[in-house]
Amino acid sequence: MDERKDSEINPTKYGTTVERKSERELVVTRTFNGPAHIVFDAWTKPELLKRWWAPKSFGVSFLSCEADVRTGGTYRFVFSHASSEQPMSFFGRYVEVTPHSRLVWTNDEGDEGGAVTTVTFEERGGETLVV
Amino acid sequence: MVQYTGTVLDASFAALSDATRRGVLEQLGRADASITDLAEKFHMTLTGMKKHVGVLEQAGLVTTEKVGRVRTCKLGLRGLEEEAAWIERYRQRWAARFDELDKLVEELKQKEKADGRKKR
Repeated sequence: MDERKDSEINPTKYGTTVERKSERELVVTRTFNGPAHIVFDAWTKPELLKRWWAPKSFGVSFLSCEADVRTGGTYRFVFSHASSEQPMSFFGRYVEVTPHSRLVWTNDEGDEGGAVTTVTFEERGGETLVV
Repeated sequence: MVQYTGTVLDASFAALSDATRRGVLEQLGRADASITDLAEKFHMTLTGMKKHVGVLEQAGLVTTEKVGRVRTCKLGLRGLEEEAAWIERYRQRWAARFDELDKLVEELKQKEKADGRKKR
């Protein structure tokens, strides 16, 4: 109950922070008010992922969202964009998938060496810290 | 989470990856200085400092001007605003996503609770 109070007093508790860790690394952190298995599901089930990955403010919408979320699996997201007739695709590979705690994927759509994204899920008292 | 590969930003971030170069920027934020001043302050050879200033200059973070025999360095006009703005845009993108994810997590939690009750 005390935790509930804290979040009322301090709404920034669920703020999103971005910090530059090195020349080519950014760290994004955010806490969610729910257990890790739920947050993890939302990142790994395509039908759930497509409901939050591209919010309206992005000006894009999902044409398709395929993701085979397991180590070695691949994904492909295709979006339509208001300012372009060509759909945009993002695709890559899941390097590591550890249920409810860790996800690592690559972005392979760029010409140069693609970005690698690592997400960790850490549950603390019913909330989940995502880094 | 890294998702950018622009040459200009690459040069800036590379320039900023060195502690001496960050120190030089801080120093120039206080006052313009010659390469000789900077070399002394950072206990370096002139050649070493010239190299660092060169990297900062290429990234557009510093400009230099030679007056007589002295090369004076000052902060570049572009400064760090572009980097800061880019990071802020990146943050806003994720924040917007996460606000949507909040709603979904809440919904899934309620659903799980309801399902749990049904099972019992």
